Parts: sequence; structure tokens; C-alpha cells
Amino acid sequence: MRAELVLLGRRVDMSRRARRRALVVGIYAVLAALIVGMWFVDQWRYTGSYLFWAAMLACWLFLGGYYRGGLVKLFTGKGQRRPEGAPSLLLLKLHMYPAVAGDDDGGFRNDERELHQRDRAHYQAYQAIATVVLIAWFVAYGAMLKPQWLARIPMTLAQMFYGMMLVMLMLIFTLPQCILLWTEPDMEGEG
Amino acid sequence: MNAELVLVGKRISMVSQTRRRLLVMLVYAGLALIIYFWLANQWHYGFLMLMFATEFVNSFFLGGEHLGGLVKPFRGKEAVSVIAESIPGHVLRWGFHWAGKNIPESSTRNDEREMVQRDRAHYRAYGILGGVNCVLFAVFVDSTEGLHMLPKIPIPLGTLAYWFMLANFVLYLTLPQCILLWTEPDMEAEG
Repeated sequence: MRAELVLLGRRVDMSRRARRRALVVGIYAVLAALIVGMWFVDQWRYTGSYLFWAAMLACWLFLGGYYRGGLVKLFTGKGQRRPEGAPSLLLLKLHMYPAVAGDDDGGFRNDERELHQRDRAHYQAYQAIATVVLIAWFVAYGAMLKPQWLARIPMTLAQMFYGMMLVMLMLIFTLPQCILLWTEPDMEGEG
Repeated sequence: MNAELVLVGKRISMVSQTRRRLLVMLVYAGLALIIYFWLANQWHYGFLMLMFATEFVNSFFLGGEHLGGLVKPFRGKEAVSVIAESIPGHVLRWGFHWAGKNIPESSTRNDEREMVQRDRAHYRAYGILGGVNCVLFAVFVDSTEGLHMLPKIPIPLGTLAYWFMLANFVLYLTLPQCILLWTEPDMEAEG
């Protein structure tokens, strides 16, 4: 796991667990606000896919894991792709270009301990998402069996499924990284 | 992982990877058949049957969630399956073998290596389920946003989502165990 984020040219120290936890809470608060807000915009008709991209953006900028960039190293353990040219002008202007890997790619590859942490985080996330799947399935079954229940909710069956799926996808793409950020203790300062 | 199953009084050695793979294929074929008959015949309580069947294969063949089956309980606790403890469960135990409260601790508690295998299996299962949900998301976005980039599916969106939910449910409960059974090499005979 990396100890700092580079945002708009500023280095933000994330070695303390309290800061990482604040980041996790902030990300989920924003994602939850987006889900609710976009329902009121167009019932997720066109904005639903934006939620998926918002989760991806959170991975790219803050969390990492499934995307290069962010605090958690890429889960696949693949080294950084070496850019053939300079970073794009937009990224340079925003000071968001990724750090360049060294010869050994040590800053990007997961060592044995990190692979175990990754797998353990996925195990824990799996339990949480299994619970969400179970709840979603009971709700879905109830709605299929007794459609009159839906009359009290201002959304169609397809919209309800879509909403549950969006929540599930957001969790799938963010939960393991958030578990890592939440549980890892304060990092020690480098010698 | 346990090396044998006892079915109707007969001990079946499962040290061979081929046998374990065959078991995995049979389990999924059986569950797929139940889903097919449920959907084809519009069984009112088909979901209960599916839940029961999934819990049954976990309790007596796959393991993972509870005592019984080939894979040791993931949580390392001697948690007893609700089905195995029910009255029909007691009858089934007679046929399918379940050592009850006399199971030695070595066959319930995971050692360090098994914990690593468990976590790795969940990491792999997580990736597969993420993929399943991404496919469903693509279908939904294609349909709701009117992109029509995918072939048109003559199934209502709500029904399709429900089927995916079913697949999710069954996979979530069985996939890590099946990955373990599928990938572990032939066991060595005990000296």
C-alpha cells in the first residue's frame, strides 16, 4: 500500500489510519449521495452508468486495486505499463500523472505479504457482498411473488433491480480496497 | 480438505482431482436442472427448493460453509448446517454420512496453509462474480439507455435481472468451494 496520494500536484500523507478511514467514509458518502441524487434526476435512466464510472474514478484517484493509481497496489500484481510517450497535456495540467516505475517495479508489484492481505480482504468483502446478494434476492423474490408490494414503492421492478445491481457493482469494485485501507495500521515513517 | 465422502454407507475416495472436478460438474448440472424446471414449470416455491438444494450440496458434498462435505468450514468454527441439524437432515446423515459431534478438530480447523488457499479461492471467485455482474450491467445499460449495441434479448429486463440474481446467489454460496475442489492437485496417500 502506498503512503501518500498526489492530488492536483499536492502530496497528501496517508500513512495514518485515521486519514485512510476518513477517506473511505468520504468516498462512500459521495457514492451514496450520487445514487440518491441521480435517482431524482432521471431515475438512473441515463445517469445510472455514471455511478459505475464514479466508482471507477474513485478507484483511479484514491483507492487503486482494480485500477492503476490510488493507494492500494494493483491487485493483479502486474507491473506498471511503461508509457511510450509523455503523459497527456490534461493530466500534466491537473498534476495527476502516475509515478514512473523503477527498474524493478517494486513499487507496483505485490510481494507475498501483500498478496495474502489482498486475498484476505477479498475473503472479507465476499462475506459482505454475499449478504447483500441474499437480501437483494429476497427482495427480488418478494417483488416477483407479490407485485402489489411494489405499489407502495415509487419504482418499477426493473428499476429496483438496476438500483440493487448498481449498489452491488459499486461495492464489488471498492470494498476490498476499502477493507485494506480501513484495517491496515498506521505506517511507520521511512528510516 | 477432506479426502473422502461417505455416500449411503460407501466411502468414496476424493483424492483424485479428476473425481473432484466430476463432482463439481455434477453439482452445477444438478443446480442448473432445478433452476430450469423451476422456471419452465413456474413452481411457486422454486426458490425454497433452490435454497435447500444449495444448502444440501454445501452440507453434504462441498462443505465450506458448515461441517460436512469435502472443504473444511471456512470460518474454522464447528458451525452445523441448519439442514444437517433438521429432522430430514438427520435422516440424510444416515445415508450421506456426517460424523456429527465426533468430528476431530483437525478436520474442522484450517491451518495456515488452508487459510491462504481459502482466501485465494475467494479472491478468484470474487473476480468471476464481478464479471457476471458487469455483464448484467452492460445488458441493462444497453437497454435502458437505448444504445442497442448488444444483440436484442427477447426477455423482459426484470426477469433477466432476476435470473442473474439467482445465478449470483448460487455462485456466491458454492463458487469458492468449487474453485478449491477444482484446482487442488491430487492428494498424496497418507503414510
